[in-house]
Amino acid sequence: MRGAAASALVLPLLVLLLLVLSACGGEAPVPSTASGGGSSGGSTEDAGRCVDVYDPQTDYFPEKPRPRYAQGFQFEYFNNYKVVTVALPETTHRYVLVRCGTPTPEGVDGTVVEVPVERIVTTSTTELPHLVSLGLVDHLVGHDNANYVSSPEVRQRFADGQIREVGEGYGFNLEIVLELAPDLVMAASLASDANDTFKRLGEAGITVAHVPSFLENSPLGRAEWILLTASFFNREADAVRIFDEVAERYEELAALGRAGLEGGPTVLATGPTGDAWHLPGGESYMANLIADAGGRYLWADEASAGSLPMSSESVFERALDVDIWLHPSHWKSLEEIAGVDERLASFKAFETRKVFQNDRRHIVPEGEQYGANDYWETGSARPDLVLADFLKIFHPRLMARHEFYFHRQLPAR
Amino acid sequence: MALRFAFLTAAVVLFFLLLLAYGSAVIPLNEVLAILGGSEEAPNNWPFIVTEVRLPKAWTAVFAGASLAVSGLLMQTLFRNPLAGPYVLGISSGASLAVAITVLGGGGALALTQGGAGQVAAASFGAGTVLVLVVLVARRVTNLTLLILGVLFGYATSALVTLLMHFSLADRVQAYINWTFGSLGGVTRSELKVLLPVLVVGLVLAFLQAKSLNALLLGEPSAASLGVAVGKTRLAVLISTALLAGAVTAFCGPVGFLGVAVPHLARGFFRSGDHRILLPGTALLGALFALMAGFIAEVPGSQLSLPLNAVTSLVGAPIIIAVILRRPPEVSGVR
Repeated sequence: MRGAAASALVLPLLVLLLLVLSACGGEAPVPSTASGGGSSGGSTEDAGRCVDVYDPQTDYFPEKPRPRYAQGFQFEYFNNYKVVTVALPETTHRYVLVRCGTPTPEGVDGTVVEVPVERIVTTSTTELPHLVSLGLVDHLVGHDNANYVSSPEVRQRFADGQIREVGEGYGFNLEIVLELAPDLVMAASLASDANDTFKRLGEAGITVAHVPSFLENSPLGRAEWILLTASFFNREADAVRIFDEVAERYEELAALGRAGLEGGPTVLATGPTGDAWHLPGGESYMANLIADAGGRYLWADEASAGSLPMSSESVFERALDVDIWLHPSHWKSLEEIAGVDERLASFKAFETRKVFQNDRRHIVPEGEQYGANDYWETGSARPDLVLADFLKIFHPRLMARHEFYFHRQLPAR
Repeated sequence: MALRFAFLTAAVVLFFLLLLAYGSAVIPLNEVLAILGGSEEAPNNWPFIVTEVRLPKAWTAVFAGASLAVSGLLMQTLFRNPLAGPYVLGISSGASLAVAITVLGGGGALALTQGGAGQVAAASFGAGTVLVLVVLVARRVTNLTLLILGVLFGYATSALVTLLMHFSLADRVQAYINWTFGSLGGVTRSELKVLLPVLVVGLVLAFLQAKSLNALLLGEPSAASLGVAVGKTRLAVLISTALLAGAVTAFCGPVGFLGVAVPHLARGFFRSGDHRILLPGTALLGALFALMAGFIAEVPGSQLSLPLNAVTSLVGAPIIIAVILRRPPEVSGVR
C-alpha cells in the first residue's frame, strides 16, 4: 500500500519535472545550454570580472579556439589579451580584447575593449541566440526592435524594461545608446551609411564591434560566429561546446543529404518582386543549404555568392518544371500567389503543391506590423534545424520522424 | 504626312515582333513564329514564355506607351506648359502613396503581396481618389492653380512616403522601390483584359477633343470666342488623362519621362501643332518608344532585365534633346 502511495506521488512529480524540462528546452532546443547565470563564470579559474593581482606569466585565456568554417573572423591569443580580426568586404577591423585588471598592451594595433564586457547593445536578431544559449541575456541592455524578436526570454526582458529599443530606421538612435552607455555595440550591418553614428559612439568611449555573420556563405560558418560573441565575454569554451554539437548534427544530416543529391528534386528559391527576381547565387548560403540537403538548386552553376538579378522570362525558362519551390516571398497561401501573378501558378511545384515557406515560427501579434520570424533568429545559429527541415522537404522518407521546425507547406488558401 | 504615319506604324509592328522574338531566353525565330501560330511543341517552356510573358508585355508596351504620351500631350496643351506631363495632376503621387501604404505601412494581406493584385488595387484607388479631387477642384480654380496644387500634392505625398520608408523593413522598401522603377512585364493576360478597355476609353475620349485642343492652344478666352465649350473640354481632358495615367501607373508603376518627352518628339517628327495629327502621331510614337525601351530593358541574350525607368530616360533624353534643338520654334505648339 505504502509503495503504491509513494509511486502515486512520485509519478506526477516525474511528469511535472519532465514538463518543466521540456518547456525549457521546447521553445528552442538548444544543445546543452550553458550553466545559467553568466555574469560570473567563464573558463578562467578566477570568478570575478577583473583580475585582482596581475601576473604577467599567467595565461588568462586557456581556451584558444580557431574558427573551422567561418571565413570572416580570426583570433590571436596572448597571455592577457587577444586580438580579434573581423573582415568586411572593403576593410578589416581589429579588436584588442584585454582581460580586465591587466595592462593594455602597447604598440598593438586595434580598438581596445576590456573583457569580459558587462553591458552590450545588439542591432541584429542573429546575435540573440548566441546570448541565449550562452546564458548571457542579462548583459543585453539594448536591442534594435522588440517586435522582431522571437526569443521569449529576450521579449520578457523587453517587457520588464530591462532591455531598451535602440533601433531607428536603418540605424539606431544615438541618444538612447549613449544614455545606455554599453561597453559594446554589436553591429551586424555593413553600415557605411551609419558610420557617422559609429564615429560618435567611439568618441563617447563606446566600442562598436562589427559582426557581419550574414556574409558567411557556409551555414556552419554563420553559426560559428557564436565564438566571436563569446570572446567578448571570455566564454569561448562554452561556445565551442555549443557550436561543436550543432556542427556534428549538421554534418551527420548533410552526409545523408549529399548521398541523395543525385536523384534529388530540383529546387527554386525566393520569389519575384514585381517582374524581377533576385535569386540566391550558386555559392550562396541558401545554395549551400539546398545542396547539403540533397536538393538540386537550378542555379547551382552560377558562380556567385550574392544574389542574381534575373528577368522572369529566364526564371520561367529554367524553372517552370521545378519540383520544389522554397520561400516564395511573404506569401501565405497558394491562392495568394496565384492572385498576385497567375503565371506563378504554372510552376510544377505550384501544381503539385510543393511550395514551402519558412514562417512556421513567424508570429505577428495583434496590432504589430511585421512580427518576428524565428527563422531569421534561431535559424542562423541552428543550421542543423534548417537543414533537417530542408531534408524533410526534399527527401520526406528519410526524415519521416522529423517534425518541421521553421517550415510549412503552403496551404491552398 | 501619310508616309510618316505609315513609317511609324511599320516601326511599331517591327518592334512589337522584336519584343516577341528576343528576350532573356534565346528562342529561334522559327520557333517563335510556330508558337505564335499555335504550336505547343517547343522545348524549354518556350511556348509559355512567348504567350504568357512576351505577348502580354508587348501589348502592355503598345497601350501604356500610347496612353502616357497622349496624356502628356493633353496636359502640355491644357496647361500650355512644355514641361507638363501625365503626372502633373498628382495622379502618380496618389498612386505612389497608396502603394507605399500597402507595401510599407498597411499590414494585412495586401501589404504582404509584392507586385500584382495588391499593388494594382492600391494604385487604382490612389489614382482614382486624386482624379475625383482634381475634377472637384478644377471647377473652382484656374489651370495655373491646378498645376501648382498638383506639384504641392506631389511634395506632400513624397514626404509621407519617405516617413513610411524610414520605419520599414529593408525588403519592403526594396519592394516599393522596385515598383517605382516601372515595369511592362508585370501585367498578365487576365490583367490586360482590365487594363486595355480602360486605356481605349481614355484614348477615344482624348481623340474626340482634337479640334477643341487646337483652339485651346490660343488660350482659353480665345478658344471660348471660337465657340469651344472650354469647361466641357477641360473636364474631358482631365478625365481622359486621369484614366490613362492612373491605369498605366496602377499596372506598370510610375513610368517616367515618356509622357513628357514623346509629345515633343511628335511635334518635331510631324512638324505640326495640329492635334488631329498630333494625337494619333503621339500615340504611335509613344507605343514605339515604349516598345523600344522594353526591348532594351530586357537586354536580349542576357538573363537580366533593367529597370524600365532608367532605360526610358537614358535612351530617351539624347533623342529628345536632339529633336528639340533642331526644331524650328514656330511649330513648337507650346510657348
